[in-house]
Amino acid sequence: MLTRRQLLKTGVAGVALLGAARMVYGPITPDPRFDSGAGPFRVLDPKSATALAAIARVMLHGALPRDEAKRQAALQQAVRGCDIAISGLPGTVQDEVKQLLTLLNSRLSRRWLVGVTSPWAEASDDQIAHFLSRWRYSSLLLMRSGYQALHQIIFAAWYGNPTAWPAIGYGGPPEFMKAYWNA
Amino acid sequence: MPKDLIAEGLASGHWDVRDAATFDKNQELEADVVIVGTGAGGGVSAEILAQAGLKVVMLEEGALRYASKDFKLNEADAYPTLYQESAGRQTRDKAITILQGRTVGGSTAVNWTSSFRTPHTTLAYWQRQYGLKDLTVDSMQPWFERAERRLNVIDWQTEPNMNNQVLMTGADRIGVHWAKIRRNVKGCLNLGYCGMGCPANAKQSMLVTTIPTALDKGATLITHARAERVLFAGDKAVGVQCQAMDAGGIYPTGHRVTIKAKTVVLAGGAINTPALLLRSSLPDPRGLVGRRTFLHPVNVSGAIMPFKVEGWSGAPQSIYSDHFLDSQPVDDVIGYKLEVPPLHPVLTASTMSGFGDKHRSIMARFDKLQVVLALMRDGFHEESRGGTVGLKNDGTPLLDYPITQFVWDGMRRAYLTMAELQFAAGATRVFPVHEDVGAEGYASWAEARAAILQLPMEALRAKVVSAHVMGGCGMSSSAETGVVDANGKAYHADGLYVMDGSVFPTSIGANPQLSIYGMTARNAAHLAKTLTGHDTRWGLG
Repeated sequence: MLTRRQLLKTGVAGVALLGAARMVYGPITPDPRFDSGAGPFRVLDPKSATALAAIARVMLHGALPRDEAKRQAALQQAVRGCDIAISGLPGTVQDEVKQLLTLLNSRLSRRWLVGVTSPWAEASDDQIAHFLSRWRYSSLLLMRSGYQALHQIIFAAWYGNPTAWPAIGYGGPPEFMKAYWNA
Repeated sequence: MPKDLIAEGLASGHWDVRDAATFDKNQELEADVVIVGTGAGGGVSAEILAQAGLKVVMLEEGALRYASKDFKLNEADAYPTLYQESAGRQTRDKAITILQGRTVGGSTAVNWTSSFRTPHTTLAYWQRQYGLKDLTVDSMQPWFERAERRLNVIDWQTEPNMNNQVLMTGADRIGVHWAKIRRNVKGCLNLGYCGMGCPANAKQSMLVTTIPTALDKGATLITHARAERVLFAGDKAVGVQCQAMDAGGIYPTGHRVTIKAKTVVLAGGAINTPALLLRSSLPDPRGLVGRRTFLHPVNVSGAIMPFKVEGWSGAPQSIYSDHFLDSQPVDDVIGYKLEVPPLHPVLTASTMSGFGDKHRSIMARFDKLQVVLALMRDGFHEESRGGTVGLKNDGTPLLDYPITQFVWDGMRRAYLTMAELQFAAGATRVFPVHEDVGAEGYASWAEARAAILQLPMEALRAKVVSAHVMGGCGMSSSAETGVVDANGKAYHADGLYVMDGSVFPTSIGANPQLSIYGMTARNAAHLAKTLTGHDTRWGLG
């Protein structure tokens, strides 16, 4: 898993560049946030949820419902699934995932290291797909592992949810087992 | 009405089972033998030592989960609760994802029931390279027979599911020999959900065999107890100190559990046992602890068949091929074993490469998806020395396993074999699971062959997984090259034994559970004899 410290050490962009970026782009106004639906998350903060929702929208392209309202609801469920999946990881691994999310959603690293110039909620699918492909095929192992982490978490969250099963022809566990021990 | 022997045992009032997550203060217990871990090694040694009349305490980091209450066949529940690191344990560079159990019964509670004796070639290699003269085929045979009897290892007579049939058909058509896999099951319903805990208690895992017997014989089981370090008095092991873990098994509660015992048996499995020894500062003058850890690194090939496969249904593994292990010397280029995995949505989706429409195009044909695995036989060549276990900042294990060109070469040959075999069995599309393979994969064997020869074999480009952890506390006839002797006794401490897959000096070259059962039975019987003077009747029927 990618850590911010390691990534900076790889020299893709230095701290000076980040400082310069802040001057060029002026004072920070809050980015738009993903509407995460009811209730707080276990581990995600709102900014991380926003980034994950945008990335999941592209990762899950073709799997998400076409209808806009259903699509939003499905995305909310996917982000909740990611939150649960991350919360079940050991402490050291959770920390690595959180560092990755911080890197994605801090606006300077998002712009300069991730290569997504718009806030996550406004980034286009093409822009996000470009970022994913760049990391997927990066010559840096750390970037590839960052991509793989997002891939694993998002697909586990999506396909772990029974609502995703009918569309892939999977009927779920055999029904009769539900009554097996009470028969 | 079926009876769940775990639920009944707990209700009987005769079992001493304690959940450390509920402890509100530090606890201290005494025993003759403390056993760390309840998987293949811990379960068998607990039963043999408890039957010998010794007071045994079993420690398990995971929870006690069992069929009638917990095994709901849902990946989203099963992986976080039954596996190490939510079934996502990874090597240092994240290039290999490792499936390893963490629950009462360990990996035996979640494995796919494949039962192989240690191959002759592997035992012969240990004799030559590690001086393990007593571990001959003839001397090990009775221990495998006893383990097979105790755990009901049987010829599986049911028709293989379609995923396995494709392996069989394809192998026949390309002239590769195959055979049927024996399984440790009793009353198997052929469901296909072994990896989520057997819901019918048919799999003869430690959870439903040796551990209930040990509890019947007066053993104590403490769950949610993570062994922190082995306690020593001089050069003698005198117990184990544990952290009590919370109910989720993620964070320590702050309470300690200390077991004082004259004999300490380590059976946390490879990766965890060496890490425990590293935390315990066991004298290790040659720096051998944690070295030579093996994984049977696996690469994967998917195929779309012109018929339904439904790889989630039916015994997950019933056919294998050792053609590419048998057809060359063990210490030549790396050999590989062919098998298939069960296909469930989460495991499949997280394994298949790509995102967006590419990934979906594979998942949309999930019911026609067929998958073959190649397990690399690592550890038999100087360019395959496995990985090294170290510790993270918080003391938990981290395995550094660099994949050498020698191993990548085997994986490339395996991609070729698997593609040829899948096309021969009728596949319309074959896609090696690799980031550089396009959405539609390859349409013919000729196309696949040309493309596979060009694939970059690199970490996190080729998908590599593992379900077998071995080594790290290797056996040898000499303290120069081994952490333990042929009886599992540590060279540099008294009263300390290792009885799990970490004692193997190489990988096994087959799914390791029966190798662990057989070796542990032999060595636990030896230990019981040493401690009590009596021979064990274990596995004699």
